[in-house]
Amino acid sequence: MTLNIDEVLSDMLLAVKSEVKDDWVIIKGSANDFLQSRKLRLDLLASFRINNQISEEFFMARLDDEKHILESELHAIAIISKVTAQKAANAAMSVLQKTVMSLIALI
Amino acid sequence: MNVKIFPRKFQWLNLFWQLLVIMMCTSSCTVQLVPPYDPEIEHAIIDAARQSDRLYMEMINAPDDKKLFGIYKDKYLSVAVEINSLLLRNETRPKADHIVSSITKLKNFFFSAMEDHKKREVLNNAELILYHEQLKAFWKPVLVEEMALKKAM
Repeated sequence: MTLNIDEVLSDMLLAVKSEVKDDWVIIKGSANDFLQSRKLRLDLLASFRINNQISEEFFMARLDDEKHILESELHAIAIISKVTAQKAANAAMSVLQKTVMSLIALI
Repeated sequence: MNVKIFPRKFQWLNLFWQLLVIMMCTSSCTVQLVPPYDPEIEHAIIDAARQSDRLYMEMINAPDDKKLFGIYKDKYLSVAVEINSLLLRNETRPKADHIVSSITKLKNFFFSAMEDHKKREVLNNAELILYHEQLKAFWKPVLVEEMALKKAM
């Protein structure tokens, strides 16, 4: 009876891949969603300024807020990435744990 | 049946594996990079976002003489209290740095918009629409973050 470490590593990698694949769609979807709503807000901001409905000062302040919104969106993307990493790491650890437990049971 | 994985001179590895398994079993052995999902916090985010949405919708749809800060002061304070409460709840959560940052940005924005209205007494519709759109944009990542935690379960 030998421990096939290559096989275990391959199984761990497969577990990681299957977790990441599902979550990439979510990261991509959220990033596109954030981008799309930013475009709408910037259109609105520009049109109000062009039509003189808002002052230069108000326009600049809202533009500065867009920077903070972007930072907040990046925090959300970071959380989604961390959730993905956490799930992948736990899936890999679960494969390793199951393999070792089954080997120990045979000793 | 006693199956030996390792030759005699590597028997110490048996002990290593056994210790590893004991460690895995005793220390739940999971990686924790984000806080655990909290359905109460998700509901609190949705409720507070709804309150702030309602406040701006009311102000946008009110006639010009009904856009005075004084009319909406209590509703502003009510949203401010909800945001402060959300921030406090997240500050006590482990590994919630990203969430705390997002809520702090939301709080700074909301308080600054409230102060602007208070100082100038009346805001025009273009200004209210922009504040409303940006406030929604600040709420969104906060909700996305909490909903992402649900996936980690």
